Amino acid sequence: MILANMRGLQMHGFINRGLQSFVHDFYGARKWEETCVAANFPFYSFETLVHYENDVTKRLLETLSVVLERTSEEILEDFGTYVVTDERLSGIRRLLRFGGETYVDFLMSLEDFSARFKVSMPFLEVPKLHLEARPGNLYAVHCEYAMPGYAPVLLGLLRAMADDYGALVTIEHHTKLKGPVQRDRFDIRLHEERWQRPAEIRRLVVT
Amino acid sequence: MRAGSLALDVAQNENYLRFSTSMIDSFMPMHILVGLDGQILHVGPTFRKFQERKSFVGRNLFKVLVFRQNKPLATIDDLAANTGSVLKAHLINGSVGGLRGNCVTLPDKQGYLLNFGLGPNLYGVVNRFGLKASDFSSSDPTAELLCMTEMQSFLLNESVRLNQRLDGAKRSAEARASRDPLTGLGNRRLLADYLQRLQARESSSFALLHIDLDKFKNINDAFGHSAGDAVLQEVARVLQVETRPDDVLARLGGDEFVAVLGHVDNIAQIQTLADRLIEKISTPVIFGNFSCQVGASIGGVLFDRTWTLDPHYILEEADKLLYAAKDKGRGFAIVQALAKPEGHL
Repeated sequence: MILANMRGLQMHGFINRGLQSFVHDFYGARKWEETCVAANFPFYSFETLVHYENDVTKRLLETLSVVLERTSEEILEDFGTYVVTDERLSGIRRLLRFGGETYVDFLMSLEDFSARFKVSMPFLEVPKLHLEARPGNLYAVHCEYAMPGYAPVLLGLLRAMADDYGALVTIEHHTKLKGPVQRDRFDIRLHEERWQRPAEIRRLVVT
Repeated sequence: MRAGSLALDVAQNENYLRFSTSMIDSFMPMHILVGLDGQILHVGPTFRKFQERKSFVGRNLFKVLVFRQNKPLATIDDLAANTGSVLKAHLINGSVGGLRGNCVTLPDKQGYLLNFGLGPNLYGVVNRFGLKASDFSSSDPTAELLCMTEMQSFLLNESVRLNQRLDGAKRSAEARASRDPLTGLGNRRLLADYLQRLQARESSSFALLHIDLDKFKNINDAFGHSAGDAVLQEVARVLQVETRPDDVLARLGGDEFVAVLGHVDNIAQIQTLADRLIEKISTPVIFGNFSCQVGASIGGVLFDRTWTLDPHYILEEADKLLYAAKDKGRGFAIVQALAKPEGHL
């Protein structure tokens, strides 16, 4: 029944609610409230499982950019980092780490991830990811998503996961719009796979 | 021709295919090979992660695993009798429970091959041992299952939170819808609901007082609306102090108030209360530098709740008496028992 009700749900609720937690945790409740007032929202809290129009997310990002005095790209990239480092969202990091022992394993598993999310939430529009291994320790992650402008989240996520695996990488982000669909490419150069000790995965207590 | 002869060999001899342990490791990373004496000969790489200090290899199978079958399974002969059935087991060291698997006899009857899956404990075991996708056979949907479990618990949490928020919002919307925001008393809707529900309550008589402020308009004109609001709030406070907690108070908008008093049958008693209300309401209210004085007129009716009365009828009757009181001059209260309406015995 839930699936039927949620068919065609975009990720706006997830993004809006996620940005809310991120701003709340990193900049404080007052900055968040200030943002809601400035954006003219009739509320202070978003819901993950509620449908919001694209314009709401757009207005949220534009207002955040003014209130926090940072570009939308910077905010989204930090948000991507937050998604994999915040303790309350540790499930996402655990899932990503499940992909393998090394950062390259993780990159290899990214393709499967969008497919797995599709299995878990068939109603949700998630980005399509594709990995291309090139000579010289270069990896290109191709991302295709119907909602343009959100790719910096993936950039933040890729960088944070490199830290998590203790890998030393440099990432360049290229973007182009093809019709309504945005295509992003992340060129990842792997300088050293074990540059640092990988971060510990906090294990859950088995009950 | 070679492929053809292989096909023939496979068809004629069930035991033709031979696998090395490393092949089996990759296909079945949670398997155990045991000899005919029950000694563990080899353990798959994922199963090996469950051993604590002592290696599983070389130990007796029944010193490592406890089987949970309908009939006891504690010897190699019991195991032989269970080939082909579902095996349920847990590790004696307590680290992994809920294992599910099966057991086959090796070719030439040299021992047994057992293969396990994590069953319903998958999620806990993966977290406890930090297992990765590579610890499972690639044909195994474990990764998909884990992803679904995580998403499901996340969505369930979000959904529970949303429901709680909606429930809270609904309650406060309901409370706001039947309350007068200025005084916190009930509003016209709450009063109508209450009078309607009176019909279903225990038998006793009720009184309804309709209170109208005198000269209230002067306060607003002379001292402004916030002074008027302060007076209305003070009137609400007086009503709350002078009535009992079970009595119902409402502001009908403007400077009109209603009090419904339960368990009263004495006209004189009600008259006394009404007169006291007028006296208290007429006490000047200090607002900033101003002394704001209003008065009140009251029309009151006493009625028996066993009469099925239209709430509008009760209010209208009280209203008539209120206007009679106003006609007498300001600051009077007229209280009467309501005549039994026609059709009632």
